[in-house]
Amino acid sequence: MNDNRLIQLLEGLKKFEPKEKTISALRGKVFSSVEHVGSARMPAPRIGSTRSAVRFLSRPIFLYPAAALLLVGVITAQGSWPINKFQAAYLETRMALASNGYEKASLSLRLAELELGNAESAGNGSARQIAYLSNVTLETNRYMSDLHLVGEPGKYSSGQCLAAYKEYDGYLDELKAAISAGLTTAGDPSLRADLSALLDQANQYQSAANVKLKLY
Amino acid sequence: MDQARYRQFEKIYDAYAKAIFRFVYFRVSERSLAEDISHDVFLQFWKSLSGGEEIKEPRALLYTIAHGLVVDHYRKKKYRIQVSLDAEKVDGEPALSTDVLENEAIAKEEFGNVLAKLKTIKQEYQDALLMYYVEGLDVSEMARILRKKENAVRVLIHRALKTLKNKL
Repeated sequence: MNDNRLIQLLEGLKKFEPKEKTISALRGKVFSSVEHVGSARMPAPRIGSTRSAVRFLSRPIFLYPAAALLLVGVITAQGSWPINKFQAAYLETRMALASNGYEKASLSLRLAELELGNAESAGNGSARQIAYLSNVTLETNRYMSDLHLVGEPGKYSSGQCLAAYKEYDGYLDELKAAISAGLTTAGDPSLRADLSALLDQANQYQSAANVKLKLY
Repeated sequence: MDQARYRQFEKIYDAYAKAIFRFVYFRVSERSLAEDISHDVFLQFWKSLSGGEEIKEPRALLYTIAHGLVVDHYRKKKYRIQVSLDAEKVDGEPALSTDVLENEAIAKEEFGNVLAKLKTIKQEYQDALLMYYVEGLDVSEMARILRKKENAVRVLIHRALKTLKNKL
């Protein structure tokens, strides 16, 4: 084969264009992540947020004194130690110590499910609960978005990633159902607005999650 | 979020998404991996843009990021993926999957052979040929992306072409 023919063939590779469905799936994924990056730059006010505590705890030198202070602080403030708060603190500490993104995503998802359970068992949602659920869902979505569909050697497999996405999708279904139930009973306009915003957030994340699930 | 930058990013995405995906896909030969890497390319680009960085040549920056991520990917995997069009598969997917790319007839014929052989040459040769002949980057852009002098890029393209020719 001469040079000209080879160049002609190489230039002919330009004819290959990704299919629209591939590019639109990628677009959904990219813009979902971009919006999270944007949100991370200008976070919504966090009521009861524990992320800064998690970052603090991720520095090993501060780990044990910080954990002790956290225990003393909560016990002093509340006079008792509800089991769910124990679980949440335990999950957050494990997240801080998790060595890879898959572990963080799984733990964050468990934390989100726990918080949703707390909110549901508390009956009518408060603005504080909605803000916290929004934050924990945002964090979970960020960790999930960082997972690689094909897995990462030595960390997690493609099958584990798929299972995590299915569980995440189930969580979002449950969250949406809880919000819809809340919207039927909430009378306060500001609470309704918060619930609607959370519903939009859940819908957006679920669309992105479904795009990923369809790729399997 | 800065709406002006967001709109700028949308325009850049629409202009270059297909090309970046194609470049990455030709290099890694696996759809979901190409998607993951392309996603990371645009996300890194967005971080630069939203961080206030002035980006004069978005295309060059996108290819710089894509090139770096592909190199990182192979460095981590420490093996070269072999390509075949029909029987053999790479990570469960044909090299030129018609599920991903348009133009099935072409995928199965002569271009397939060129692409398969392209995958057997040095990675920097692959980058050089794909950037120059497929993606249409000029030598000066490639010099910035590959961090080489323009003359070195010309030599690289020439050697890459010669090596590929010998494989065919």
